[in-house]
Amino acid sequence: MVEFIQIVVNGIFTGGVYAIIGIGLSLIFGVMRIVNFAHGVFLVVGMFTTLFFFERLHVDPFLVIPLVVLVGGLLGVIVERSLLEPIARAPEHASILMTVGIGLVLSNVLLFTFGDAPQIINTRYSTSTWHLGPITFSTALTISFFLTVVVISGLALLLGRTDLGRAIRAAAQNADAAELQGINTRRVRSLVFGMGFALAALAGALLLPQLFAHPSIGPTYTLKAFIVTVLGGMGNVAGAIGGGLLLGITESLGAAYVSSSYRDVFGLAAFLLVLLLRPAGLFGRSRT
Amino acid sequence: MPQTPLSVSHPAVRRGVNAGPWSLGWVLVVLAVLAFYPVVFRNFLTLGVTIVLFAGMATAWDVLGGWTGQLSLGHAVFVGIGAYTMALLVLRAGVAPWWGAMAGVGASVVVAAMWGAVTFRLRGPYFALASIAVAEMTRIVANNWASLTGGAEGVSLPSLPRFLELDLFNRRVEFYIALVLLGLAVVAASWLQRSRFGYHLQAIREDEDAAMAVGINPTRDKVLAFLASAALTSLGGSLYGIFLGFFEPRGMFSLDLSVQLALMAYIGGVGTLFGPLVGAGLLVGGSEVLRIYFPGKSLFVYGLLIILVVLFAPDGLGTVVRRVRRV
Amino acid sequence: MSEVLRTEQLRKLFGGLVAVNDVEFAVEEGEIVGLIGPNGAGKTTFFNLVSGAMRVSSGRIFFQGREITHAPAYQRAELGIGRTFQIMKPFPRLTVMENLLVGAYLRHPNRHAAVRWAAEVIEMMGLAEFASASARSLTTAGRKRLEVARALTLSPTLLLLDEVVAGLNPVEAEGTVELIRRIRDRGATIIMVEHVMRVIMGLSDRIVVLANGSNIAEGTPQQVATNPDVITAYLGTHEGRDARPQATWSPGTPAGENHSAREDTGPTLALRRVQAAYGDVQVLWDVSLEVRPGELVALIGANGAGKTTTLRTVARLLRVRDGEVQFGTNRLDQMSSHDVVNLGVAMVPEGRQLFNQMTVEENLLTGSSLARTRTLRRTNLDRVYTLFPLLRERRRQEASTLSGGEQQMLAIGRGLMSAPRLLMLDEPSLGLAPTIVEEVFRVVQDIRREGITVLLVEQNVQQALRIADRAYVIESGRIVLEGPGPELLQSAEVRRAYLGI
Repeated sequence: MVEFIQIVVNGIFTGGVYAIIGIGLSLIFGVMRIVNFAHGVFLVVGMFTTLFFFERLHVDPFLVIPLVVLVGGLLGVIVERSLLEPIARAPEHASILMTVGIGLVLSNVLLFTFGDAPQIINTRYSTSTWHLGPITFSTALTISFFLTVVVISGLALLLGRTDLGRAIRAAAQNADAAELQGINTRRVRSLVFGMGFALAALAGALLLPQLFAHPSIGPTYTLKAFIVTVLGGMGNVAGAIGGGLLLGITESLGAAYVSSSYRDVFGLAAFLLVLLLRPAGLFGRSRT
Repeated sequence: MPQTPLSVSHPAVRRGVNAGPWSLGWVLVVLAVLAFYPVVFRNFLTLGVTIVLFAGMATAWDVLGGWTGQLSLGHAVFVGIGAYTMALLVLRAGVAPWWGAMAGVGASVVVAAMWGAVTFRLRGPYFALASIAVAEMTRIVANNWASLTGGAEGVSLPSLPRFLELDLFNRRVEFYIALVLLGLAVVAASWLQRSRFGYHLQAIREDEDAAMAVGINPTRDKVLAFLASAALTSLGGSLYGIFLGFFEPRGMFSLDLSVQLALMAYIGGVGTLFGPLVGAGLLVGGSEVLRIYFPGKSLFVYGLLIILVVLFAPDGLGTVVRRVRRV
Repeated sequence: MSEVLRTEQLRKLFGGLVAVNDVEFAVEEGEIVGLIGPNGAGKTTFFNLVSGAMRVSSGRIFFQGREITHAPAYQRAELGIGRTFQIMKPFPRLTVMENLLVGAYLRHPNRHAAVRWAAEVIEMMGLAEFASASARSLTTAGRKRLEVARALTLSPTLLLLDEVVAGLNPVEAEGTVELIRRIRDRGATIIMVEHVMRVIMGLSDRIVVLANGSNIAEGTPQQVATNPDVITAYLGTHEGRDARPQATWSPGTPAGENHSAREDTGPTLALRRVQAAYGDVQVLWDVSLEVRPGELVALIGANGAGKTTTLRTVARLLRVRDGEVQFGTNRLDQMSSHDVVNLGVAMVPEGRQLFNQMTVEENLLTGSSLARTRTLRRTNLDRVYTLFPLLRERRRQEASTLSGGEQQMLAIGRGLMSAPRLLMLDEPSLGLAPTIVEEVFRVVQDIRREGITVLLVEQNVQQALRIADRAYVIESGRIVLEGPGPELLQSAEVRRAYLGI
């Protein structure tokens, strides 16, 4: 039982970060109707930005997070303005190919800049843990999870209570009607893509303590982001939280009780099943 | 409806039927020119094989992706099945590689039939997403089912029987086999350009509802296109396995490989006879050049080219050439 | 004569909305049947059910005595049901000839025969000179012809024509009418949906009228055009006069006298020779109109005449191809939508277009997204809640859970939240129950009484003309008539524009 709880706790910790990745992808899909194939690469950009600041400024990785988020947001806005806005009216496959291309360019720029060797971050608490009864918590993961909760709550407030949040949701639900309320939907699109990039970069920073950073791991996380959003329902932000936790726990349980080498298959299988049987997602309402 | 005789002689009517600037004659000319490559570029045979082989597989991808309009990002599955079926039959059962390749085609067709039957009800990005999921699952299974595939350690082909007295590890031999495969794929594409079945696929690509309204069964025809595409890709995969001599699931079933095939077709122009060939030449050649300056494998050029193509030549570079020629 | 098509209790639901309601319908061989009805009557949905593009919710469909209720669309095409699409669906990157070959192969598997047949169709439709052009390069008229031609390649027993004339100029329209006659003479049975009344009244042997999904009348064109139910369905009810609560402003007073004090306070909206198009489909040809401060102006006309397009052009949801749109001294035709709103021009779009997954209050708050209106937010919110007390009660409810009438009120309220000087209302009474319609018209008058200029597009012509100071009648993208509302109410011209006689 203790082991089971331990596994579920680990799953929730990772799942929280997955939720952040998924929320960004879901926001982008909701507002821009773009399936962002570069999302995982944005996460890797976040990892390397964190590493860069950590090594140059010698500051604790968690303290440079605001900088990482800022860089991610700026990159997102630039990418949206220069590469996605021009093809906003093009057929669907154009945006798929464009984001694939963006992902390839970004990950190769990282490869040129940071080299081919996997990198890891070493802080004093990298290996430290704390205990609650028989359950063990990694200190780094605990901080990550705390930040995850803060960020998701902040996002919920932003989307639910502010003018900006309403503008984003309005643009997602009906872009023309949003324009008729005086909302500049073009600006909303840039902003949302910037937010998506920033959230992915943040997730990268949060995952860094438990992973090796390498320029090529982007697609793995793009896939995870897809899984999370499809489980939660494309464009459904609240669903993405559920999807993220579900994926984290599924992976964690599957790896522990079935086989760790098949860890990723469980998520993918769930993804395919949901895609085929409940295209609106597990938590989605079917739209009419 | 009663039919009154009318003339079919109007010149525009004739031109309307023979649409497309390329005909079968052009196919033969291009293949004939390519046949001189090993003679002219004796020292760049490996590059030549890679280009022609990928051009063949990208053309095969295009049967589904370009002519039928179903964006698959999981075609590496068929490359992998082709390579592994061939290699495992050679190693474990002593079967000749060409029969192994045929068995690979069989296996690929079975997989494609199941895959297509299940996922072709998805439209738009959902089909593409599902194809990634299928391919990734296949890769993980292949990687972990070591007793069958040899797992992450990979498979190597130490020796192969001679094929019609030819050494299959000879780059020149591989080049011509790849050229035959490319020829097969391009001829298939040129048939699609003007056959009844080809019009069905193009109609489905252009507008599925309208296609149904003129009597086309889209699911059946999409599955058939998928089978043909899978079979040709699988043949390419078998040859790719021989060309590499050693391979592992991580490379053979990789998302990168799937994406490369799609990008080659898109960069050259989907749904055209020679678009995938142009795309393969540019991408393989381009990253080869880049590799000289930036050691370490790089897909940078792929990314850059696809961005430029989407921005400035959304129908592919092949059509730019055509447009320029027309001006 | 034998029966070609028959439907029994045919019904289609979209969520809770009944789009086609127990329609019983039969067509004899060789007939041309016109299917007419106001916006949203279910005509295109009916076509989709018969052609198999949509599944029926209940009921049965028989084609030549054979049940086809559950046959997929492609089988129905094989059996001989050809159709065109209202939103044209050519195969854009194929040539015109190839577009036709696709269908020709169905009847003629041999290539030579297929080409021959496609060439015959192409010549018959007068498309021969475009044979090698790609379908996307065709004009609207060409594409509409291609739609018909592609259906003809199936040698259809039954041909469903959906708006093949609307949007064509008179010469092109005449050509298409001639063609439809020839197609019938060659033995096909035809059902056509058409907004151009002149055409459908002239062509049809028999007319069936749908309203709100139900078959409300059937008969010869003459019978149908004089049927009081049909006139009500098209022009709205007369009942409004007595039901309307007595307001301070009496309906007979000309606007100028009542609002002279405000006349110089707001800017005038002026459209000068405006042309607009959706892609290649030109909808507005030469629209000039004026809405002066304090006025309530109605813009009326048949389905597809260009009313909504005019409003969308002003709101800049659609590009102005040529001409000017001026609001006071500002040129709207160069601005983006949200800047137009910022100038004080708000639009309440047709079909409400609410943000369905947001609460009532959130919908209203998005209405005051502009910096200019954010400071006035509480005041405006109170004003809206005073105008619609029901919305205050439901302010935490999700918009999608409201009834149709409440949704319309919310849409109007949301429009008012931007503190507009000019409010454009697009079909505010569409699809609402009669008592709610009354309520909507009362509200529209309340709004203008508050000093807001109103431009009203409305299918309930009688009611709209009664409350309007002035009205414009638009037909096929051109303004054909202008005058004081009550005067137009008596005009035979208006009736002609709607019913084609």
